[in-house]
Amino acid sequence: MRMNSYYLKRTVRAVLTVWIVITITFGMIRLLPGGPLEQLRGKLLRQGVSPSRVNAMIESYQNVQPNQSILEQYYEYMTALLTGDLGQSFLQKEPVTAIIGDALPWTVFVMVMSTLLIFVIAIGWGALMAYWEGSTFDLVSSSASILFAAVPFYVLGIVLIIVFGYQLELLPTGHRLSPTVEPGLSLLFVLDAIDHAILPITSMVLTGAGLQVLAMRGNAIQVLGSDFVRVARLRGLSDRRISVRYVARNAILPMYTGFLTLIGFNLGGSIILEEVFSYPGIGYYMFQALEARDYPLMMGIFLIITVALVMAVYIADLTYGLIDPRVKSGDSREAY
Amino acid sequence: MVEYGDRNGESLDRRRFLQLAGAASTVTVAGCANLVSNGNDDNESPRHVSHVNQVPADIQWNSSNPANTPQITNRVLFDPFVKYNFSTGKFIPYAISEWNFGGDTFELTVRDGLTWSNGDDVTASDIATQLRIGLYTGEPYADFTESIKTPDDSTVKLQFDSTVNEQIVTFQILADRFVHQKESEFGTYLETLQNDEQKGLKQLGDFAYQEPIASGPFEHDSVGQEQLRLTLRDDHPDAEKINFDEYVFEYRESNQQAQQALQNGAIDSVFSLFVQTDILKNFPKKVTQIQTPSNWGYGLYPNHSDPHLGDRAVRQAIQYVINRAQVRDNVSPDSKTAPEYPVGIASDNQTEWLGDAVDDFDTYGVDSAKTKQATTVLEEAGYQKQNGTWVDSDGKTVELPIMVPSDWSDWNTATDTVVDQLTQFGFQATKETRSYDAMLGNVFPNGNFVIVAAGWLYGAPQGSFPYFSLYHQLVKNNDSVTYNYPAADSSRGGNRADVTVPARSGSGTMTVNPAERLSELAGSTDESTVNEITIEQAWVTNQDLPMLPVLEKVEQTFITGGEEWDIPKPDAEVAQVQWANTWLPRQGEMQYTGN
Amino acid sequence: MKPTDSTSDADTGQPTVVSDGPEDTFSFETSGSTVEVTWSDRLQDFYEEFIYKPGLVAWDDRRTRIGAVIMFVYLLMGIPGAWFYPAPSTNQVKRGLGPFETLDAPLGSTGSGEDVLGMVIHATPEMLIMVVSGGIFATSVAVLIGTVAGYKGGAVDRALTSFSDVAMSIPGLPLVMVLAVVFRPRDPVLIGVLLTINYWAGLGRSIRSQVLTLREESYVEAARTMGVSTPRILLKDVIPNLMPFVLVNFANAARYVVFASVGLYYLGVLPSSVDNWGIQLENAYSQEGALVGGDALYQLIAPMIAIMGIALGLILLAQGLDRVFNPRVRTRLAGESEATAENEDRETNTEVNI
Repeated sequence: MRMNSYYLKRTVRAVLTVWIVITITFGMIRLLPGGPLEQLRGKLLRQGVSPSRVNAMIESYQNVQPNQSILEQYYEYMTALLTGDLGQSFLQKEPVTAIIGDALPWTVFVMVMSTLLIFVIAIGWGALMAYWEGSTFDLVSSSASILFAAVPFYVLGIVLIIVFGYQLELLPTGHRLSPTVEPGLSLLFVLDAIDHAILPITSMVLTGAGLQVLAMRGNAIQVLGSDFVRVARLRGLSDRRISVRYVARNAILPMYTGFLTLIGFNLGGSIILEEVFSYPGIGYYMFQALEARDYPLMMGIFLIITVALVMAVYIADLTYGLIDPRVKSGDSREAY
Repeated sequence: MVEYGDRNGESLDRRRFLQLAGAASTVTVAGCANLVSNGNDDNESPRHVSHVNQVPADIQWNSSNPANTPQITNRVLFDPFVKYNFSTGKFIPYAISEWNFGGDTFELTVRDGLTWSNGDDVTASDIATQLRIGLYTGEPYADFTESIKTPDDSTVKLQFDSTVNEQIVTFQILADRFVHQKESEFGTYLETLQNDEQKGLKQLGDFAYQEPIASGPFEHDSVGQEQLRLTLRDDHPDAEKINFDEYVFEYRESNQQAQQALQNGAIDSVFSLFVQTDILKNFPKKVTQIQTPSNWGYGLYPNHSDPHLGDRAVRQAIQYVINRAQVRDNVSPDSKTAPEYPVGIASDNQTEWLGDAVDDFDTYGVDSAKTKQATTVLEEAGYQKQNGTWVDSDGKTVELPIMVPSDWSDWNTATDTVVDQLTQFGFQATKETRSYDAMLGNVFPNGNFVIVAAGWLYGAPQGSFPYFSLYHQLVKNNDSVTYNYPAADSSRGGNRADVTVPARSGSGTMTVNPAERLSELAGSTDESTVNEITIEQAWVTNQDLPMLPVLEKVEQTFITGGEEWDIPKPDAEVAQVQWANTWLPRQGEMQYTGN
Repeated sequence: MKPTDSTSDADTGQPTVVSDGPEDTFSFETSGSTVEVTWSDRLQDFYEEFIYKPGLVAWDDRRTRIGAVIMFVYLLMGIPGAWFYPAPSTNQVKRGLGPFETLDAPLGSTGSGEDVLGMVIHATPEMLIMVVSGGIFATSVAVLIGTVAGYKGGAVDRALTSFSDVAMSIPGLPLVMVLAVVFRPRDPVLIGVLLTINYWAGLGRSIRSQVLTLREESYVEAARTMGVSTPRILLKDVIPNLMPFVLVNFANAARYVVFASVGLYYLGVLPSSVDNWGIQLENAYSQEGALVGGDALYQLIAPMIAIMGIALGLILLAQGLDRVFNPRVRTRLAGESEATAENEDRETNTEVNI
């Protein structure tokens, strides 16, 4: 019963959050200065076109009724969203959903791979550092972790592009695919896609792993020092068993929610990453839309990233209880 | 009244509307072309790989649809009416093999044997269809064209409502126009336009032409996210001059990527690519740079309704203080020039048109900051320096925020330099940035600026004929910038007022109406009248400075020669066109020679 | 398995200096004592308890020392440096000088003759202001919302927590970019605030759960039963004990501000009328051709080192300060809410990935 109400609460909260964010984006689009329609209006008025004619032209051109009340507009906006219609991009003259549909898989590919690698490295390396705590390996690794954490991913990205892209010409400097490769179920396609994703992923992983490694190291050291490990050791359990059953599990658990939320955060970071690598994912299009004041596209992508973030947290909340049996009571359980 | 670009009628508003919508996507060509390439060609049949800075799959070939209109690929797919040669200043016949100017008529003859890629002949009625559509979409010739007729299958005849200057007609109708709207595809839109203009404009503006029927030597074969592949058409009249089978455009997003691709041979040619001196010297020898005038470049538009910039003295002082040569050298001495005279005529044509009068014109100091003159002119107008800063007679500081597109790095460097020069002189100058799209949409039309950086010339090839740039500076600028110059058109914030400037003879003043005088020029067939008005209006721009010229851009086009391609020398006359990599193949001047 | 002593400092093996338990938690009001304590005494106590002692502990950590030295260098650059060193302007020196060629431009010059070192130095003051304002904004909002929510509980808590949840669910960087385009902020204080516009949310949640445990402490309970007002308890008893944690997160927020601001200046989203390392990067990248030619590489490297240096300083400070705070909290939060504390650590970490 308690668990059920916990799930229900979480679900309600996720839906509520998405609804609030949608409402905020609706308001923001209307608050933003000089959207495309405003721009057209300004241009036409400057040409001496009479205001009534300007309205008629904009209406016929964009199918927008400026005379609708804000509530009617809001209603239409919400119903359109519920049917999966994010509107039409002014820039591309395509439905926003089509652009996102084309771009999203590439961003997700890069970001999920990056985040996954960050955690694999963090868990493995951090555990080793904890195991050999105080050793030279630990010291060097700790220092390296801190150093890498001090590098913004886009700075590392630029360095990698210069070294591997422009100087050594080993890897592409941008784009999803080579000119001659078309998407399809071929080995060539897969390899080419990986080839183009190596540098973006590397810049995310190297700069993002540092702090996670240190966090894992801290967790592992703490678990190693905790009572139940000492008891287990006294009971004569093998090191192997201890490290897998107790240490690994208890040290990794806290990182689980971090993993999911980090994917969400990284989606936001994709704007800079994809711009640096001219990688046409959703971040790339978001930036283009921002530059061109293409608000439907901009807000569509904004919403998608938000929903991803909410979903990540939601999933983390829902599944955490299944993974960590210590968590019994719903109320005290917070994913973050 | 015959006047370029003037329109009052209601029906014309819509043309302007579409034209402006299109401006956003087309102006990018002028600013910065960026592209790239990596990965090497596979060993297929001989092909030329060029570069495009738009996602190929997104391109659609209906130029009346403002979204994703092509910038270079159309020049291979479609034949140009004629080609303007910068070196000779003449039009070379192409898809239009002959034209006859008759004062108030203009007759075009379609090239014999020209066909569409589906096998149909290119007929006069195809050409008439696209010219007629232009009457609705705001093409400049719409202002003076009364009717378009097709006396026979290969002749198109335009009837004007009065006499128009021949040069203007030729530039308006022939330059930069392509055989691209086949009647079978576009006739239906013309019909709608004739019946219901608004509906027609919307339909035409929404039509995405994805599988174009080519009139050029190459036809559309396949397109993807990263490349566009065109194949040779054997039935094109110039097909035998071309000995390679494919013309491929590869997508490169940034300038840097395009430069690298040129350097490592991944692409064979690039049009209009800014390449820094440092990088240029690292290019392999076989990469040939062809420089052509752009008749366009970095200038400053003062907002004439600003209390200080409305004052001619302040504009002149700014022009005196700016050291144009220093700006050029800071930005890129190879691809920019500093105009000798700040006038509404492109650098290359100034001495030719101004003739003996040139000595009367003020240079305002090309390679020096003429601070003495600037000080004099300001003090005469009641300004004075207080604590090192110039203030007006009311004690108000002269503030000069200069707005510049954030995404154009060369213009940012130019602005940084200008700001420093003005600051050293004692003006309170600053740089402000906006994305170019934001400027186009908001800053330009609404006049939200004190000084804004924009092109001070009309652009090539029209810019080679002074009328266009004078009209651009004085009456109706191309970028729809509301700069509130009193002599300008109302759509640019003016009221077509008279301008009074010192007489060129040196004593007294002269008062002229630029809008009327330029309209007179446009309707004149008399060479001496054209010359006289040109010098007179150039004098007005020189003295009154409606815009402040700073730099002119030199277009850099690159074609790889070496053992693979047989191409002309960089300074060859035949290559002095826009753009050599699409024109040379048609002339048999870009032959594949090996591996 | 290497045996470890649970009381030793987790990271460096140093003996734990700060002892656990309420006896070292400080309160201005010594829980209902009627003795009048003068302000100077209180300040003295506060200094002892919250600056001197933790400072000593922190300073004992090598990372804190290095971090502090690095930050001191940036302070020097930002205050006297920017004051004395000539501001960058075009054609102040020869164009395209390489690094270490002349003393006029020790790190070389750009293609328009600007001193590269001057550009780096004169970007520092604005950056420091942004970092401080962003850090203060993020931490103070987080403390305010976190403590009130945690202490008051009930409907107030639910409302504030939901508010934080929503704020946290909005992707930070895209939101900031949209706002930057709308407001075009120029004032560095404002930019700092804008960049951390929803950064506080995660931190607020962590602080809330800390407060939840703190409020159960006997001395807080005592104060409450004595009828001391809530704001007073929060201000005098609760917040001071959160200070080290807040400081750690201040450093993290500051680093986020550095990364985000440079990134946005690089993209040209923030108005580029000031000096900033991001603008320098952009200029070297697209105008000077640093990528393809290689001749202008030094123009990229100089701002990169400046960015990484300040970030390194802030991380080291955060890591060092963490030692003051963590052993206490770890033990205090041990037990059933242990996982919660761990998650909170994750949270502050993940967010700095822009």
